[in-house]
Amino acid sequence: MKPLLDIRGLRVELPGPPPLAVLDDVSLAIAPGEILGVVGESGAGKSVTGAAVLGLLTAPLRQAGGEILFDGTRIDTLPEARMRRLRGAEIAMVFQDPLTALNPVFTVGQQLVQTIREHSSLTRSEARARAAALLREVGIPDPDERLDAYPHEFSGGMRQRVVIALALAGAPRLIIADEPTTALDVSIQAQIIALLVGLARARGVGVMLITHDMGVIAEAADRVAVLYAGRLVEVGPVAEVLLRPRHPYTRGLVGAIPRIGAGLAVLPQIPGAMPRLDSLPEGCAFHPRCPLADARCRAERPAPRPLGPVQVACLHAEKAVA
Amino acid sequence: MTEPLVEVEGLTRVFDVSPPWITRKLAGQPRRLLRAVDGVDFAVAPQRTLGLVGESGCGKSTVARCVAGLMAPSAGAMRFRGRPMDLARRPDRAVRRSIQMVFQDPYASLNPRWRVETSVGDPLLAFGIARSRADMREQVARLLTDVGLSPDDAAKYPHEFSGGQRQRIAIARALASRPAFLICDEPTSALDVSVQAAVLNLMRRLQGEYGLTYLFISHNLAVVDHMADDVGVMYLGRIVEMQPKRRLFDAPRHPYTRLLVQTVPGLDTLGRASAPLAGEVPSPLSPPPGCAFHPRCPHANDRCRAERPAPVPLPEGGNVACHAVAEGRI
Repeated sequence: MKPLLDIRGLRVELPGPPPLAVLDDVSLAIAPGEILGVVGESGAGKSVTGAAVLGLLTAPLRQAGGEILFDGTRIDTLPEARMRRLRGAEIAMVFQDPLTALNPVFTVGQQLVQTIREHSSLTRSEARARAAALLREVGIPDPDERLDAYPHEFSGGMRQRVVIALALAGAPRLIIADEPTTALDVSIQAQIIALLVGLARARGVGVMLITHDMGVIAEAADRVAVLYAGRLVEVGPVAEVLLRPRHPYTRGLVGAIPRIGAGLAVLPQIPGAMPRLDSLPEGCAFHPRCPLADARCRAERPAPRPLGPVQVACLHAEKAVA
Repeated sequence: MTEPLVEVEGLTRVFDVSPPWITRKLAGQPRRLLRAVDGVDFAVAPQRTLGLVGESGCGKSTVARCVAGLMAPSAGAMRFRGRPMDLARRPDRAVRRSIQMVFQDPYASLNPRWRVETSVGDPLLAFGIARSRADMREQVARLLTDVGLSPDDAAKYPHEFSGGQRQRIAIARALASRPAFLICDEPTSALDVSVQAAVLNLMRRLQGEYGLTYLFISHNLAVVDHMADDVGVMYLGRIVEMQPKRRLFDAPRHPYTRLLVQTVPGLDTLGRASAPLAGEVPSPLSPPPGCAFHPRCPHANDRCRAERPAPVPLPEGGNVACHAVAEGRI
């Protein structure tokens, strides 16, 4: 199937001198109805990937290479006016903090109606009916009355549902969700994840789910991409990547997650810390922390290569899985 | 049983969240009181770890702040080594230095204008533990080494460190007065998993080396399972269940605990669509009558809607506040 979103060799730079690669040669694809999880530590480039797709890179960040295709058409070179029409209508976003994503001085209904009319030719009353239907679809009780409520009158979980309704207003085909459940409580998190998964399935919407929470990925994603220091280290079906990680970094990351009932005296941890962008090591960016590193890893930067059902950027991936 | 190091009985903290006086008079509104913590009991034995879990607004941080003496409880008794304690009302230097706290956000809990040496060394000087500045420097160097940093880091400022390193500094500062009891309020929630693992490992190692007793608060069940011996589950200001952690996670009794244990997203949930619990935590401003959990509870009956359940001891130890469990319905 033709991918809905196709990111090819994306490079995003912080201008220098010397320029620093915030994202370096990242290639990812999302099919319609598919949920791609993007994970990594803070500073790995997760959010920048999402921002690049939306054409919302904030200066001085700039795209320095690669291309982004949406439904087969390049969108990274579109003029801002065309990109603006695409955002919301075809590609929508859901942010981490629902309180800042909504305008506090307008009712939820006003914000939904405005967004719906922006992307359609509906009349005000038709748009209002559509807004109520959207609230119902995201599981908000009494949608007709709740349209007249202000964002502060909703709880955190309900507010995030409103944000998702707002994202759906233009009937997008791709949703970029950046840490959509991070600000929410555990039991509410589960509700929002179930909602996103349900919508992706029912509407055939592709979702890029950016999160640092492997638990969320395990529950929601079909495939997962792991980023490290701006580079793609592993991408593949979620069960493969989380249960049989091929890349030593993915293994370290998955191993470091505390699990209920594991009964470990000491949690496995990765020695050291992710390098700063201005002091990336030669060769594989992970080699100083890697138990498998040898002279080749210090000299040669591994490109992602297929290994079974996954793509992995490691010279010794076969050893890691053994 | 050994005498508990810290004991809390009927701890209650009420906040007055009334509108301003003039608004109340004009609109004829009554005072509004928020019972953030409502009759919490627990005891922590020396060198053990009590974990407290619950969702935001359940009152777990308020418990921490009352025990640490950052705010005074509205009612209830707290004891340290068997003696009554209320640091917010009756400062007691000996107890003060024995009870320290590690906060969630290491960006906010360290003074950005203070060198690490000042932050970590201040308690040493304040409590007269260091005999001289040279002695203070030496002790700061030892503390930094103990938390996995370098003695040279003493001269740096907080912004020169990553989040995980800052949390290590905050831990070194908490350890400076050689406390017996450390209150940790979401100490790793702001950190990445790989960094979290390192900080949790450090805290377990220090517990042995320093003979520490922990009150460990987190919304993350897996983290609490890793750190705690006993776990209390809070809901709307009350502890609804308290058990040794293995029993709590393997055989949770309270419907809320069951739900939490089932819905926590983890690697084990892979490919299994979990059935999320409907509903939300009610506002503590207007808690439901009876059992606070009854609107979300699949086992609620008329008694649950009318009568607040008291904690009932479980045969295997611990207790649970649930009519359905007490009546043998679940």
